[in-house]
Amino acid sequence: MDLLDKDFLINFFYLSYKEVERRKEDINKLNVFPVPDGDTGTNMLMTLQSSWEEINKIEPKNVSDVSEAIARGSLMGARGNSGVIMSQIFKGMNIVLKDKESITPKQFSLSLIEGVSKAYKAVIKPVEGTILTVSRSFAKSFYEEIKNGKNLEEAYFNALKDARETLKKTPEMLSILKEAGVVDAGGLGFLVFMEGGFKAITKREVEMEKIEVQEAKLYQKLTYPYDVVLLIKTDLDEKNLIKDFNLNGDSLIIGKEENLIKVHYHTDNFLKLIDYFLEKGSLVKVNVENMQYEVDQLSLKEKEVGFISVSRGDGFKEILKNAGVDEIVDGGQTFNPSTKDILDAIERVNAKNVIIFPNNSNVIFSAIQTKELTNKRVEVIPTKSIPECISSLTMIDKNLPIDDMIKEIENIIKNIRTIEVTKSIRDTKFNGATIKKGDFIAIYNDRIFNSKDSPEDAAIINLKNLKIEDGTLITIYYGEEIDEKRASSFKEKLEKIYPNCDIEIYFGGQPLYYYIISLE
Amino acid sequence: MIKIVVDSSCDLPDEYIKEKDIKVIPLYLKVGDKFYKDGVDIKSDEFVELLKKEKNLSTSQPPLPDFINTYKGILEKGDDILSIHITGKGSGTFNSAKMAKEEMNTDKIDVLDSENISIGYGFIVKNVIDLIEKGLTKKDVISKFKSLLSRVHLVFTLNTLQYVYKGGRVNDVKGLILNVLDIKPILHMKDGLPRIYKIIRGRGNSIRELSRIVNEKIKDVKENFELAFIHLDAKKEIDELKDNLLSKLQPKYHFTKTVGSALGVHAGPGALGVAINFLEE
Repeated sequence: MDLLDKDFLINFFYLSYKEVERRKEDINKLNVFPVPDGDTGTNMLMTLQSSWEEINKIEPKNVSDVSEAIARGSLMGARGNSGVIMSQIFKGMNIVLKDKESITPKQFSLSLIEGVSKAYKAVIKPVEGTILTVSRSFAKSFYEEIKNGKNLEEAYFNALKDARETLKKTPEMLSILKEAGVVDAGGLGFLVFMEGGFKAITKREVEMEKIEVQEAKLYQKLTYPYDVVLLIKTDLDEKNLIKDFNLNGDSLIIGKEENLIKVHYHTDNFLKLIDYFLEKGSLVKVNVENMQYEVDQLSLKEKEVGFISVSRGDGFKEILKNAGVDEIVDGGQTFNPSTKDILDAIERVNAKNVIIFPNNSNVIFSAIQTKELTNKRVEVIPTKSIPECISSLTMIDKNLPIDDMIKEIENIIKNIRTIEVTKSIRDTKFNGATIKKGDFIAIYNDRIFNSKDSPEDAAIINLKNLKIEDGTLITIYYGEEIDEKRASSFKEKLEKIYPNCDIEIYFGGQPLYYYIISLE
Repeated sequence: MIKIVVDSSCDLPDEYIKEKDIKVIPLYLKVGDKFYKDGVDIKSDEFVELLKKEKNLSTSQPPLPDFINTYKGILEKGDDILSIHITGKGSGTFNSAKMAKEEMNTDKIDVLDSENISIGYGFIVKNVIDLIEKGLTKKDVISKFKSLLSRVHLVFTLNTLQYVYKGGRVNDVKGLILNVLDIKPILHMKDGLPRIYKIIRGRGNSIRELSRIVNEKIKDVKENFELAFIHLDAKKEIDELKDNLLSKLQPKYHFTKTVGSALGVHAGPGALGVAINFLEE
């Protein structure tokens, strides 16, 4: 039987180490567990490098010297979790390889068994689906193949195959990997290391099955959810067609199909995309798919509590969706949704219990009526403004039982004051003040203040009549008639008047109301 | 004698560390491919500047030789060691300390997991020192150690989620970062990891809430407690919070500290917090 000597081990280690260096970035990309800081490959490499330096410091006489150097170097240079685990594997291997002049393949495989067992012991709480699992799979299969009489190359090759299969199963063992859509980074690192070493055994390049490496998806929210395919009839060529195209998005593919041009793009705003190409020619066919919907469907599970909010304005809709609203019913002042609109939303929400935020006093009653029309448990929180709903949903713990949740929401709402700024639609008298049709008015509960000059002035007059403590959060949601620049200068004005308050500004996009301002 | 070894994330005051002759093993701050020792190669003022402009910052546990060398120095003088560390669930430091002990093959070292961070971890170290000064043996201190953990409460708030999200150490914030609204979470330690305690809107509100939580927790103990304040680039706010709390509460001892760089990388500028240490009756 062939004996493996010190030169074999040096060569083996060198090729393994170089392979990790070559594929470092692949390993980094996968890193999500235990901490997604994307440095598993770098850490492993630094650990191996320290071993390599240690080997070069000595003049090894036998396998024992080499193994000792690898173990010592990795122990001293171990970085990160997988680096530490690698160092423990080498340390365990050294228990078998110590005092050996040269070794048999069986001893080599036994040393790996010992190494893996050492690594398991060193980790306080071993987690399966990691480098531990992959290395154990390799060691076990390598040892058994040798025991069953396979030669070194064959046994090692089969062990690589098994380790690769185990690596592919790591997402099934560790849910965080599955969520991120990756295999374990440390596990891949170990496999890469072993694949490098295989060249020392075969003494030639060997075609390996490639493990597909996808960058870890840390969350399932797509930046550019719309997948758009357009077919355009135009006189322009491909290059000129997209000359001033500068829309946010990715995956642009453009191609000629007979006398038409086909454009593929991922975007967050497909309407703008279509507008752009409408100017360049005539659209033959447009296909839009929301990829986010598909992603969400995959994780669709009936929720304990669902949330419905009545609101108007694109900005508000986005904020509400982000805050955790499941369904939005279009409506508000002068545009009240029907009981049926709300009922439909209740049925659409995939939840046993539903909490409704009417966000307008005129909608509360229709919302309450739905209670008798559905089998789901429906609770109506009598919110009179959208900010009440936004803050409640942002701040509550959504894992609470529904009754506790309602209590908490009621507490939050108590501390929110909302001022709405709009235009008077008729002449009226209020608290002795005369309000003319067309005046700007700011309404807080039953207090109305007017200004002939601007909605901002009306708002400020009203604010000045309220007691506002230091540290209060003033949130301005500006409506569809106000542009961003004007809203920002309003914010700056308020910052001067209330230097000790926090002031935030968001696009609400609501009609009728120039501003909706909340104090909390 | 029993010597205390800690890592640099305990955020105890320098004078205290000097007075009690505590040995500090620095964590490492990684800037690109370079490593800096937390609190040694880089001080807190420089760190805040670095944090604001350098994108590629991360932290690393101390390598094994750092532990071994420190331990060796103490053992050579014939002393025993209690090595107390930042929560083992959030950092590999505790595991490395255990390995170093195993490497040295001695029962004169005991490695303990504070299951806490920053000043929370600091108070646990202080409680251990108080016990030793009362004359307890190492064995007695170790058997009492678990009961010390629940006496320390750390609550803190962040001004930005960017850093904690990038650092990846608080799983809960994964969902929060997607918020369109600016939110200010209040965090606490639970089962050895920072977790979201409450979500608040508005910086002023979050600091007020922090103050409320501390008052609420202390209301039954009168004066048998200590307080510690921590901040990163939020001097004015922490001073206000401190004045506000100290005008009503009478802790037996209190101190204020800037967050060390290893934790600061995860907390980000504007982070501030309070730790309460409930003393034994």
